[in-house]
Amino acid sequence: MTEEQQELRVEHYEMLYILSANYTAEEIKPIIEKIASLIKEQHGEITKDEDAGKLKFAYPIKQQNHGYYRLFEFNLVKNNLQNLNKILGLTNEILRFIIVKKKIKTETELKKEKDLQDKLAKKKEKEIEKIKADKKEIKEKVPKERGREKISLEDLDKKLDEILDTNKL
Amino acid sequence: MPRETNLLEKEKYCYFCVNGLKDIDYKDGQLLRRWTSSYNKIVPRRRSGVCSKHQRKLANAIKRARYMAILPYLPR
Repeated sequence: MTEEQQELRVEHYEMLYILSANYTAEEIKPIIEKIASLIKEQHGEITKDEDAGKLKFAYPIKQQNHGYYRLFEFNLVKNNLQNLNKILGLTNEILRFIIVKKKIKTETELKKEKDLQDKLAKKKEKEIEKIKADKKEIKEKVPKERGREKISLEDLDKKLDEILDTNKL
Repeated sequence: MPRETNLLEKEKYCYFCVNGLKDIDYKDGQLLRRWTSSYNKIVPRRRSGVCSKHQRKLANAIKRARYMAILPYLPR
């Protein structure tokens, strides 16, 4: 692959961004549209728009404790990412954002993962059964030993009697 | 001098290998909290038992979560 081709390669990205909680739920909508249009301006193709809800920050950002977390997924030419980063950094409405490369899973990969999960689930079931079986064995063992003891006690009595009898003689 | 082995210590295992998780999501703060200390530091591999491949991904995920205020940098 030549350098030019590499720069024109389309990648799949995931972007998480925070909007200030000073906006109401309705005031947010035009802002979201604005951000989406910014991505589209860079010839990005949005595949997912998700609301992660209003959450509390782990530490205050610009003297605020809450924010709306939202998520975009989009395909973008690698070369345009730097531009997009710059533009998003200059939009005041966004408190903070992060763009992360996300791998699109192919069908074979998905199948592999599913197989792995099935395998693990079976393994766990087996282990649980094993533990149960072990517990049962212990339970079964205990009464047997007690039974033996009882028998042996009776035997002891008989033996004692015999011994006593022989002593009398 | 040989290292003393603690008999009470549990056997360590990589959570992500055992559960078949390939990628670590930085958005799941509750899960990531398991591998931060009470001072909100990333727990080293010798204590967490996570394998080297996943420890690298885990450290990255925790740092991203910190930037997005999902995890704290400092204790309160």
